[in-house]
Amino acid sequence: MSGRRADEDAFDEFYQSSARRVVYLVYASTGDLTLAQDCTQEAFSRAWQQWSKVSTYDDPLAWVRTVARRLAISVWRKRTNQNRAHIRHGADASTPGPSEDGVAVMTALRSLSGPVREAVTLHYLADLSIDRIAYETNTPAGTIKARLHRGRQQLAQALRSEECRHG
Amino acid sequence: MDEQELWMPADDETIRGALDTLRWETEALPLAEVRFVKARGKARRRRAQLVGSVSAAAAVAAVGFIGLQSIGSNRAVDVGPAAPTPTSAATSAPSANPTVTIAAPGPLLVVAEWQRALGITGTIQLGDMRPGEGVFADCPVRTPGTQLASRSVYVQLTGPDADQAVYRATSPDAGIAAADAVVSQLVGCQQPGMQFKLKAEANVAWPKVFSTVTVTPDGKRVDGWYVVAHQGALTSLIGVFQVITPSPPSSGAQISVAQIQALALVAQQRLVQEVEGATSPSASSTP
Repeated sequence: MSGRRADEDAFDEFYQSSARRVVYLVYASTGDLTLAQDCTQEAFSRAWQQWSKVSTYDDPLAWVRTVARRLAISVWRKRTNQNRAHIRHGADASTPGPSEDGVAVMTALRSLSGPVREAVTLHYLADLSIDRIAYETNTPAGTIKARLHRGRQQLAQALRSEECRHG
Repeated sequence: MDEQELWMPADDETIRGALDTLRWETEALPLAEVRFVKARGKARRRRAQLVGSVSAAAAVAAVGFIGLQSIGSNRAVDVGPAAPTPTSAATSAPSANPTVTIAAPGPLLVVAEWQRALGITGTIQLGDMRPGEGVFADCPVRTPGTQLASRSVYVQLTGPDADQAVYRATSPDAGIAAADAVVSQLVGCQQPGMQFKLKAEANVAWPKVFSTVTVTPDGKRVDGWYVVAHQGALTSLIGVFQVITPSPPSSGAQISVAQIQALALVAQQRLVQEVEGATSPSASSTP
């Protein structure tokens, strides 16, 4: 019984200490805060579902992060297609806009391609090394390095453009 | 060309600074309660852990089979899958009466009883309950004795999600004190930071029934039902939860007080049978 209690406490602590970081990462990757919150909750619920296994991993957060990102990417693609369809039918393509600065950063991030944005967010937001990103995304390290390089330049340029636009 | 030649640490800072605005926004948001995250995982675990799903008809048949096995061949002739047990309450009640127990041993409700009481037409799955999760997930209470048996119930499509556990105290006196303590803890249950309302639907005699409405920070409404049945040294706790969606459910309606009260009556009868069975001479001689 004490083992179960310890499991409960360990999961609670894990969730409380890391959930916001996952929301942050998924939000930056997709630009959709609601989606980020939902996918994070779903990923942690999956971790709890198999906590006896996940808790033994070297880095349980990496597991949750990967699940959350994959869920978000999957939903995001579907939604993007739906949004395109809505726009084609004259609907307003409105997304929840937080602060002005946040919108500017998000706009800059959205100017990056999906794989490039993924590399940038994992590097800057999750503080992962190139090797670690390569491992988590199952992509050669050289490719990640190139994406990161391109992403930095594009993002810096996009941020400068946003700054100019908003004065 | 090495990227270090093209990239200065100051450039990194610019990007990190910009991305920090997103971090502040997410940090200002309320985090979903961990118990809701667990509940979400728990529902999925039930689906995953069960080998195949038990259809309503098959479940009833299985209950009948177990009932036949336990009762013995001499009683087998008239005992069908949904036949009521030969209790006083059952003598005048039709087999479809949701407040009458079905011929199956044990203090826990069986599939057909859940179905009849809650009017469930969809598939029901049973699974093991994790003791650590507790029957009353939103209002944890001190367990009223040693756990005898527990079960989780998951209903596909219609969504209600339930747990039942039965506990034995060291004596009938200890049992009534423990059951009363559970009720007191339920009545005093609060959910800080959330819209939460608890109402006593039946709080005079056993079984006692409470209903709750919880609105989570992200706007989801969860209806909860708590049942406390008690007999002798035994206490049975049932928690039923239903997430209320904006649109009406496609099959299976919102659970009503009457349905939960029917469920509570069955739980109470099962305890009565369990206590009477344990004290009868024939039962005590059974290995």
